Amino acid sequence: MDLIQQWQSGDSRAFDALFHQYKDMVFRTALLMAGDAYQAEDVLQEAFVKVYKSKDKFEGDESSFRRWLYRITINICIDGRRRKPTLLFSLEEVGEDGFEPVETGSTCAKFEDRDAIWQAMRPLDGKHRLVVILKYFHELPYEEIAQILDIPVGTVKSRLNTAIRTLRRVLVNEEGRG
Amino acid sequence: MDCKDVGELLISYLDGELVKEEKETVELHLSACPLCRRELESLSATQNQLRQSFAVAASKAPSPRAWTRLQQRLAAEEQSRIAVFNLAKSKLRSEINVVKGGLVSRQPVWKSALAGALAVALIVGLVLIIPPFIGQPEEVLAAEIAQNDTQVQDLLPEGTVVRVTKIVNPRQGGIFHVLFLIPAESIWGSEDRGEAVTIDALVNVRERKVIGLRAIRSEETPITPLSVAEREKAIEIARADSRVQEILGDGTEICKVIPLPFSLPLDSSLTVKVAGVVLIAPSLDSQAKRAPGLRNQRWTVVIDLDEGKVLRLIEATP
Repeated sequence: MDLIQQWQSGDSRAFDALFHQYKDMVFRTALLMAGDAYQAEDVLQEAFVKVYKSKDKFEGDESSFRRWLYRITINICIDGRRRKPTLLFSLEEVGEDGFEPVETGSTCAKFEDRDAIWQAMRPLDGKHRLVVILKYFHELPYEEIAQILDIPVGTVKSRLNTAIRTLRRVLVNEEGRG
Repeated sequence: MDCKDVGELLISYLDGELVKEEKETVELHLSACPLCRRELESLSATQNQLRQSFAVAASKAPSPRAWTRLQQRLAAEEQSRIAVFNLAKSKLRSEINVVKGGLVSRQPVWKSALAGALAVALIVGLVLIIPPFIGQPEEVLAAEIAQNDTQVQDLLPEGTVVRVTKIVNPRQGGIFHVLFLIPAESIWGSEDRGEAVTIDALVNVRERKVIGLRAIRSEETPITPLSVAEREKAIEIARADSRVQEILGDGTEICKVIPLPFSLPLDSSLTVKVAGVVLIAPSLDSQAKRAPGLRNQRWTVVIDLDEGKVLRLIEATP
């Protein structure tokens, strides 16, 4: 019996184990999306409350659990963006069309090391930033990113192509100015 | 495959996402093309820079108290849910006659209690004018009466903060709606996650008691969607009205049926399920050309679905 089955059969230790196994993944994803450690803590809590309450509804194994948990985390961050102006992007930006590069600002003062990440991600809009986080931070294969975001693999490829070339252009310009 | 085609595959190549044939084609091209080799190195350097900047996040971890906080929160929610589940469920299901996804109260207790209370109030009021509570606005008193009512308390989840306590416009002198917004899952469990329930206590301040009680499922607002049957019923009621017949006979059509907020005092009745049948007159070409943004003449027929009658006809002239 795997961890998911143990959890669903009512073993509270399995939920404890799941939390400790995935807390860093959820927290760091939220941190990169929110740029704020306090908000990332809140997202972590919300995500596992959702997991806890969905015990009887979840169907799948541990790999689908991981994808599901990514999706929960991303959705909480997106929902949080609607209420709090400090998250990096909104649901609209994640959609296929009509997005604009996110304005940077001084709203994320709590994350002390945010500047390096923030600067790197600054030229990207929400949907490109999301695939970049999943690929170059979590090192997920294209297929899994496509499943998490519910988009075709071809779209993952094209977004990464656009994102990396955009970042390169900005970095080259900045080096030129430096 | 030319440089442009290869260029589009370079990131997938670096990410190890090409199939064997594509990979071989790219490598063959790279071996003979110094421009594409430089492009590959440049893209690779950008990816590495990105990974380096992400290394900051990789060293971060949630607070050591995160697990304790989660346990405390789950325990509080579970306790609250269990405490009210059986009582509230049985009350709501048996006494208030829950209709899933829609308005709850269609039961006679609501109206008979109110009718009785009004009758008593009328008789008592003729004999004795009950003084209001000096120095306290009636709406504050209404909230207090509702909060202290044992039936209301039974419905509110223990240990959960009531998100909103709101007094809606008094419908009649001394009678107020006091609304409590609570999470549906605290009453119905996980099946209704994310929804909210509005507990609506109708309070007669003069008699200092709750004279009606109901629960409404909704997201954030007490406007509940209409079922197909309710829409059809609303249209049927509207069509039976002589004033509506007169309007419809003039080429005007029924455009849509909308739910209306129950809490607005549309008239002195205590109807809680209200629909609006919207009628729109045919457009006049000459008018439309003159002012494209001009709206056609429209009417909203406000219908009491419980009583099966037209409450009022609102005309909006362009």
